[in-house]
Amino acid sequence: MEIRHSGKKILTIALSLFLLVGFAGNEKYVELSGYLNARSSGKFRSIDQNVLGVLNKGTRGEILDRKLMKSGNYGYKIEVLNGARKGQKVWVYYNKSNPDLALYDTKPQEWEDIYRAPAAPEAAAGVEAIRETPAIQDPAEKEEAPSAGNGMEEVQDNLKSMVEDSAQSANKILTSMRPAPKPSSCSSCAVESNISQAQIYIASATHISNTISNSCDKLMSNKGELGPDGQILYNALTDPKYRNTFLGAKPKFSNPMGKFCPRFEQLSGGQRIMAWMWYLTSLADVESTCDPRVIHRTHLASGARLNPDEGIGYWAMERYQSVRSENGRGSECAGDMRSVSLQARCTVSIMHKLSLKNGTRSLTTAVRDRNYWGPVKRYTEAYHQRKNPKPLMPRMKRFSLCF
Amino acid sequence: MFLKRILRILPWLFILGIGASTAAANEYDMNEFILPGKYKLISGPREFCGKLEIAKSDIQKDLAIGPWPSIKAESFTHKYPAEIEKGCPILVENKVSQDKAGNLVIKFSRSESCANKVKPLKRIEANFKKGTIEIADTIYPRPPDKCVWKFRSSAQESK
Repeated sequence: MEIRHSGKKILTIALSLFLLVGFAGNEKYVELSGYLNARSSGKFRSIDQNVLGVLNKGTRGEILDRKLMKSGNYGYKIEVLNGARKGQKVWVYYNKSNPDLALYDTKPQEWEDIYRAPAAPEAAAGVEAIRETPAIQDPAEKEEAPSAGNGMEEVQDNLKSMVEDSAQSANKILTSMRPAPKPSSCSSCAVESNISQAQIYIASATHISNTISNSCDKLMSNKGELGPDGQILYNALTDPKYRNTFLGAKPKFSNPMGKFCPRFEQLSGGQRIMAWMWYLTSLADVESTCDPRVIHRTHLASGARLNPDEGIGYWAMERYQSVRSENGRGSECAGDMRSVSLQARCTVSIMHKLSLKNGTRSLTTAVRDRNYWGPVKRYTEAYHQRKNPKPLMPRMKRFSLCF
Repeated sequence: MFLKRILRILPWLFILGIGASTAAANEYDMNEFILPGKYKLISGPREFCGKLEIAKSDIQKDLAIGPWPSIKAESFTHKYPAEIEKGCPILVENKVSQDKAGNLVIKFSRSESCANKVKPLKRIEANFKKGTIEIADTIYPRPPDKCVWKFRSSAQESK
């Protein structure tokens, strides 16, 4: 027994060392690039849902508190000193091996003239966001503050966390590298860097029919910047259960957006997800003027029937659990639909199952068929110009990469 | 001893037999009542009822017709926790039967049960006769919204 036990220990140590060496190279760089979320607490997993928004390049802050993570990386509580979030106290993530933050020893007002020698993360007094890409998803998923445990247990915990994070990122990269007929200039890039490219391709609004309401900034602004609810939606879209469908990685339909994005196949992985983000933001604008709490009544004031049942929120999800259960919406739609996270998850699952028939057809190949959302069914621009005061297609057309 | 055992089991077998035959009686072959193909809206609000096209593969126990995502050809009663008024659980009932004219009738109701008082919330009555589909949907206290479709052409003919 003892021999077997010590054998196990040796194997674990050997495996740990192997993995540690394995993750010392490019994998780390790929895993944690280009993200910078502002969070309300020092927890950095996607399920924590504490993302307040995105900190852009040049954002400066004074460090108020720091937290060492299991992996050796840090969470910083900072007071933002400039930009839209000036004065706010938020948490940001610092990855030592691939930093989104430059750290300084001196005070923020001296930053202009400072000698920019990077400080040690545990001693830094100020931080500055150095990446151009706003945060989309935190790289530190499944990471928490270190526990009291130590030794082998701690090493194993760290390794587990690294493997999980690495696998997640690797999946994203693989999906983003799916070959396209006319590949974009970024042929082997990660989803993250493509997102920054996608953002600059949203054309300005020219008319009321293609203007996204200001209230939609929580999802995605007219400039293509993701808000906190946009982050939640992004997480739902890139869930391993649905990702291949939305990326067009299914064999039958390589363009799941159909006429909503004719050039979908020429987009990179990150751009495809951003196209969906823009589309769902447009849909939320059309359905609810991007109000996550609005109730969608069954009848208009005139008495005309609108919906079979009451809906709620951004994408008019069925309001009551009993209705969702009877309609077979499944576990992805179970719970209190006032939660934005549930609205996003349920919307993505319904779009996957009904509109895209589990990735076997595009949004517009079967327009006469059942679809949860009326505007998805009636997609043509002519229809919208003629009848609908809040058309979907003109909004979508601002996502220039698609057309 | 053996006879005693038989006598003990017999009533249970009888009850089981009746249950099974009732369940069998409630099972309907939807293909007998619904034709696959394109339907024309005869009456009802067009924006709500919409055009109707039913594929052969769509004709199942759980039907999606027009704006209704799930009309089930089976009888059941479901109870859900309160979600509108506190302490008032939700009762959902679905009954399937055949009327004298041979049409398949599905009656669905959703109601709130408050202190032994049942408050109706929604009722759907769907009538299926080969060639005609009628669905009346009532959200209380409003009057029903009714959609009637007539069979126009089979899926093959429309190609």
